[in-house]
Amino acid sequence: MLPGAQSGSSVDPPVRPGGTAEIALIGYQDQGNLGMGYLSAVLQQRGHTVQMIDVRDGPEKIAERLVSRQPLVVGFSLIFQAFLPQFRRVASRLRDAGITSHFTIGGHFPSLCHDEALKHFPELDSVVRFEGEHTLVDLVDRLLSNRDWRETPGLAFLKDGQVAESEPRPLVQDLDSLPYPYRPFEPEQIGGFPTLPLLASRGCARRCSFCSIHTFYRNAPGKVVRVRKPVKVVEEMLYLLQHLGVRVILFQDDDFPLWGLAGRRWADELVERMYDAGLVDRMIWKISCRAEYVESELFRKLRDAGLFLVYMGLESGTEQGLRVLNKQMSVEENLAAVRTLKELELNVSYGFMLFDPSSTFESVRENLAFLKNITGDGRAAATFSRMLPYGGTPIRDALRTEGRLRGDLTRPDYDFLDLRLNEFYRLLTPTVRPWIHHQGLTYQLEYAWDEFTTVTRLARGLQGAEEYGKALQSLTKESNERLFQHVEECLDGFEQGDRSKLAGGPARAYCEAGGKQLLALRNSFIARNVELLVDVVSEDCKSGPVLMPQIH
Amino acid sequence: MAAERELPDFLRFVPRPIGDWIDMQFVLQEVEQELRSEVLAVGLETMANAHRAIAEGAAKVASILRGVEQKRG
Repeated sequence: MLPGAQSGSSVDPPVRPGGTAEIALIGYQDQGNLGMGYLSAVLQQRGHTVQMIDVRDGPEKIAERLVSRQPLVVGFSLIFQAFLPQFRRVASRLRDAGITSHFTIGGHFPSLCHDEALKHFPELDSVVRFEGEHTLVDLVDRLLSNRDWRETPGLAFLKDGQVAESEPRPLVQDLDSLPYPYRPFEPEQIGGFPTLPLLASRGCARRCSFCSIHTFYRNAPGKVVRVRKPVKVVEEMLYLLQHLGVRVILFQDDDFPLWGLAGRRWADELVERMYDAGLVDRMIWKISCRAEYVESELFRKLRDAGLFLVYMGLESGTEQGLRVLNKQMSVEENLAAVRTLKELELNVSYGFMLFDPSSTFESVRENLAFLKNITGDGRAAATFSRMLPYGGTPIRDALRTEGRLRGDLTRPDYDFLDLRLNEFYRLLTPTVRPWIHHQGLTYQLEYAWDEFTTVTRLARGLQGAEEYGKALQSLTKESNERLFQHVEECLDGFEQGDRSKLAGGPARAYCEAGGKQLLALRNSFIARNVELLVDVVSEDCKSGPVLMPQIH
Repeated sequence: MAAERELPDFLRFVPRPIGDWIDMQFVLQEVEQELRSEVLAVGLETMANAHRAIAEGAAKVASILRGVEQKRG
């Protein structure tokens, strides 16, 4: 590591007139990265210039972009620890190119496992722990004024080869005090409609054993769950509509704040403000929440105000699995939530872990039965994953104590109690890829459902919508059945010593054909409605709303 | 049946996750697999270059030795 990088103050920092600096933030830009957006916004509020860079641009391109600029700070925004090697390659290339900036990193994994992050990422000068907005601004101020940056609250770093931490920094208590996230890119589109993420709250009051969200917030001082004022959320929606033409909002809250009486009152006010602002019928939105919040009257009201998609972490179809994952939910509560959402004709998206540390061959079958129950009608594409023991989660600690933790830092893993299940999972995974993969049939179907709902909610009077909806449901139903049948045959075969099904087979051909069929159906439906969709998408978004947004 | 190319760009079918990233373990595995493949490819290219260099060197040595033998002859 270069000497200037280590000290952060032994070389002259690139200070610009007015005592401001240039900062580079590097991370993933899928769906718009709200974390980087908020960091950029607070830095810009202080007069600093920020470059947001997609890590997928690669080491060479990023080095080329930064070498002549020598930013004061390069911040890495790490979502998953699996990406650590990719980020490290970029950092290493930047150092080789002679970039002496202060390198820091933030996100769940570095915050909770700062010792491991510093050990495996020697190019780093510091780790910004937990919410980074105020810490990063403070760090930049100290570097600019040649004060000791190690005294910045909320940091971790190496001192004489040992991990050291500055005093902890409290969480941001008033989320409405933050500026809107910086969004300098073209929004992604669903069915032609610009789509962006938004936050109405931060934090989660629950303590699921596999999740790092609660440990991330509980390890920093201050109130864990913080909710924005409904009027401020609606002002930001209106701002996005008027300035960027955004019509689809993805609320990326850790847990959309609908819990209890307070949650209901908050939701009532949010809906009321949306009507006041003229957003209803012009914008639709997705939320992520716990299944226990789903109740017919409340969700009908939310649907009528624009809710179109609900993501829930259902996670297991067995009571034992839900206990091990500490979901504090029952199988029946999960089923009831799905039923209610379907009755309201809302799209359902869900997280489900077919395999978890308590899994047995029997529980995998029980989980399949649960999945059949919720997706058997073809209203949602069947998907599943395996629980992974992420850094900073209680279940990783428990697995370590039990001597079952396996893998390495970037690819954490564990042994099942029945070791035969390790082998079954290893063999099964590649055979379900034709469905469960970023280009797999399940993801294509899931996206097709969200696109279908988006266009039918935002553009009234589309021709052939009913037929396409029915065809989509039929195709999804068949795809789900084939996936379940495949997993069941693999299970049966494996338990009887026959592994032929696990060698792959016709699944890929089936899914490829299904993908082609879906594309043909979808394109035919869209083609029938191109003129109407073009008209609605290009509608003037600047007129209409009553409220004027607070411009940040 | 409408072909993809007949639709305006913004109405083409480009599936992407809009639910929750936390469920993307299979995708992550894929990303990592791609990185591993990339590392393996670089390793094999290096090996190929090394073998190519050895082969070229050996051919030159052979040619020189043959030349020396011819002169002696």
